[in-house]
Amino acid sequence: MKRLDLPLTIDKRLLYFSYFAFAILLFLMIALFVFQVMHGDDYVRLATENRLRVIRLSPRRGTIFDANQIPLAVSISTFSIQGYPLSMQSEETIERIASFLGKHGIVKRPEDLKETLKSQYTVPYRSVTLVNNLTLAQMATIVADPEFPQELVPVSQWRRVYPAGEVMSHVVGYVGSINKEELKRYGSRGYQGGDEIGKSGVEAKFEHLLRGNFGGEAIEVDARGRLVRKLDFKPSEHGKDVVLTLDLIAQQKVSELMEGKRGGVIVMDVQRGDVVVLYSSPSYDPNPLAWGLRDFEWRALTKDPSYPMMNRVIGGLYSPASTFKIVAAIAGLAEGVITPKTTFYCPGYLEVGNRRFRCVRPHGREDIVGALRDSCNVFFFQLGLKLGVDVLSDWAYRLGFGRPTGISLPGEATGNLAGRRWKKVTFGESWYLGDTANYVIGQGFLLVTPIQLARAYAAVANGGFLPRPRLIEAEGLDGEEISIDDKVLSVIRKGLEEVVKSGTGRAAGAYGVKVAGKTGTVQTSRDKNDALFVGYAPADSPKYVIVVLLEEGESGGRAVAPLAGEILAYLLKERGE
Amino acid sequence: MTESSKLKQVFASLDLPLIAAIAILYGLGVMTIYSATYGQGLGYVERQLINGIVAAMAMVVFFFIGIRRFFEWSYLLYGLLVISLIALLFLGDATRGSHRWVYLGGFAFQPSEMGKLILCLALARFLALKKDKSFSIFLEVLGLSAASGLFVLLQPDLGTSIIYVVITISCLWVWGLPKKYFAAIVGSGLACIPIGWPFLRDYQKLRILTFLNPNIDPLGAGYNVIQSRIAVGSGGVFGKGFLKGTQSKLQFLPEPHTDFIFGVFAEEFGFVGAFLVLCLYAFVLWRILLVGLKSKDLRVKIFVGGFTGWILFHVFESVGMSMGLLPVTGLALPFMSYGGSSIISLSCGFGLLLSACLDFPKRYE
Repeated sequence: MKRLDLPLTIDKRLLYFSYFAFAILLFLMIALFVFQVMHGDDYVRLATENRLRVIRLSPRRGTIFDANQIPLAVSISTFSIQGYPLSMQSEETIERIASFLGKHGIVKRPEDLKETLKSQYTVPYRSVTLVNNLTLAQMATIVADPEFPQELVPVSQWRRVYPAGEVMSHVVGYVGSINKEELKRYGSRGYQGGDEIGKSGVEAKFEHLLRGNFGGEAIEVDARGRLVRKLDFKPSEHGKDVVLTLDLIAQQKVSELMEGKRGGVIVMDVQRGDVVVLYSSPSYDPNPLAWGLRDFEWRALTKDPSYPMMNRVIGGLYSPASTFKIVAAIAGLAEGVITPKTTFYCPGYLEVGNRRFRCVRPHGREDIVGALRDSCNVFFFQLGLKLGVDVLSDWAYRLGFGRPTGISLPGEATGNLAGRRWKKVTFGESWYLGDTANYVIGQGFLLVTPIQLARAYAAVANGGFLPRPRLIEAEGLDGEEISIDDKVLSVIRKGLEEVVKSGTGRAAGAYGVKVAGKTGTVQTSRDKNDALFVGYAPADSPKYVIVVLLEEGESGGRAVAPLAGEILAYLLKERGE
Repeated sequence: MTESSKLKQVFASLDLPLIAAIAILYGLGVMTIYSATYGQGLGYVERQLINGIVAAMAMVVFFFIGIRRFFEWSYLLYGLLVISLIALLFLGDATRGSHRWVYLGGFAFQPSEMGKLILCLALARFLALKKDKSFSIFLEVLGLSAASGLFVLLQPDLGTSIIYVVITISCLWVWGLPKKYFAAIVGSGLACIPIGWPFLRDYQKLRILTFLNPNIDPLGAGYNVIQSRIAVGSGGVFGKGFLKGTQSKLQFLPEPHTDFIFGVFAEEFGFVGAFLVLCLYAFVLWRILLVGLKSKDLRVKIFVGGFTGWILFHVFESVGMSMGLLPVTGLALPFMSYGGSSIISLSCGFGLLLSACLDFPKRYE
């Protein structure tokens, strides 16, 4: 009995289900009838004169301060004129608006306006910015004009200004209008065409903090575009301020010292990695960039042969020359290949294979401290050959070369350790002993950035901690501990002190502060050198590490060491807390 | 019987009016996608044409494999579904904040979409021989469905997980679950609203709130609801004509080729067009239910229940949403919305359904 009964129940349920389905569809049909047939005319009216308009309210971008609360990037209030693509469709309207703006001294051809409408277009009822950067006075006269077109909306807007100008531009960076690729990448975070976005430096790296959140206003307008009532309002949220570790006054001093020179300077706290000075010369004024350059101005800036847009401190790649000798010195002592008492004899050259590698002059017998002081190549050739290139490049890596330091700035270069494998891959050649000889004195293919050098020397000065350079304190202390016996580092420190006391870097010690450091000179062409000084002060209890680099300077000892000494003395004596 | 006469018999059994109705819906969909993306090139239309070809091939393949084999495989497939849903949660790449997609050689696919079909099959097999309408079986079924539905909810894909619930309830209804249990389901569902609320994502809450009152957020989500209703309503009796819809052309409608496709269609073809489309859906549902009534296989009957619930709810939600009568969930309008996963899984289901017509008299009890 049950077996017959069961399918019947199921079929009954299926039938009920079909009634239910048809009831649902019927309900939808009735609803459609109500909306489309009974109220169709109302909705046609709503659609033809779609009366909702949306205005975006831009937030004030956070201020960037230096360590002493001096503003480096601020947003000031300006006014802009906006309009809706929906109400600016006819040729006639656009021409009328163009001539109205022309009357007030704002030259916009109808084609310019159309281009603006097109480039910022998202949906027709969202406003686009037609004219930017008006002052309150300008805006007042424009709005007071009885002919002010109904299609236009006056909106207050923020504009970015950089009071420190080119002194800080490589750190602070600048903002600009968002471009197509950025829009694609960040569109999901609420950016729209015409928005400002950090393009370089801190402005780009801390965009998420600085930006703030956009607000909006929804208004209902009548058929002629006039405001009827406000439907919704969401205030914008201002961006967060950022306080940098940099010292504007010191940076200003450095920029004066670097005037007319090409190169870079970085000064960093040896313990915490706080960047106090970071200057790349020549520099550029970020203000016109933030307001929008014309194409030819932009081309002139980027094609300038002295590359003012390049941040040489983090993005420039240089041979470290003799400043790299500390790597071999640390490796030799730490690996037990030499002791502080080991000596090599320097006759002024060394034969490696069938090549003769030269020293500056014959130094006679040198130990490690003497070799650092005199920058004796022969000592380091001997040491390098004993260590071998693999151990050397391994230690270079440990000291932070060949990898980014992680500073919060875009555009940091990695450098190139250029070891055995790299040579095989790049040139298909095996490694020769002569290559090791070049390698150990920082010549050859090895490339580093000034900031990598600063970090390595900071580790020597502070007893083996490789700090991550930081620009704002909120980033927190970060870095890595290199396991080196402090006895090793104290020998190196002794050598670096001797350099300034009686060696190649004497000129750095002439400013009343005890400096320790190392010079380096790279011959880049027949009569041109890149000159380097890397060091720290005070030598007894190090506070700042410094790298000074001059492209086409004379030699490390003559040209750069006095600069480094002067900057360190200025910082310790006049800027000390 | 010769090979050719067998084939002839197979074709004779085909429900050609049903196939024609589906093809018309698909054609109207392609046309509407063309209109919705007018001026943006033919990319979406081309891809939807490819989706259609793939779907047609899938329908043929599933038809020839036949529903009986799929009932046999259904537990295995269900296990694979659960595993892939879990894997997707951990390995998936979050598109727009959710883990729904699998990428296979350039094609993106949502396993949860095929999961609707697998759930129908598995539930049909599980329930068919359970004669005892006890509470414990009811609980077992809920557990079975939750094994996949929960992971879909976690993706998070609220719309699809609701479909899983609808399929489960539909299968239970057809199977003959006592009516008092349905009262319990409705009651506990209502009770879950305040408990589940905090677990919803912000955008999900917003969709529900703006449905209740579109003026809460006219700058954002509520705007879509208002604009879609204007689109449908302004279509009037006869519509504005093909390619003449102002709401979609001026981009007042968001995602006009997927979520709001019915709005685009109703604006351009008016009440007459929209009514005819709903009649087509009614016809399709009727033909599906006929298969269930004619078949002597209990599994097919229960499968038909789940399948009907699935399609019905998609239509109800998608059309209701376009009029602002239901919250926005992003469920596809069957065969019309742009997108491969939805149309392919539906076609597979129809392939199986048509194969069930081959042997109506065969009992399975």
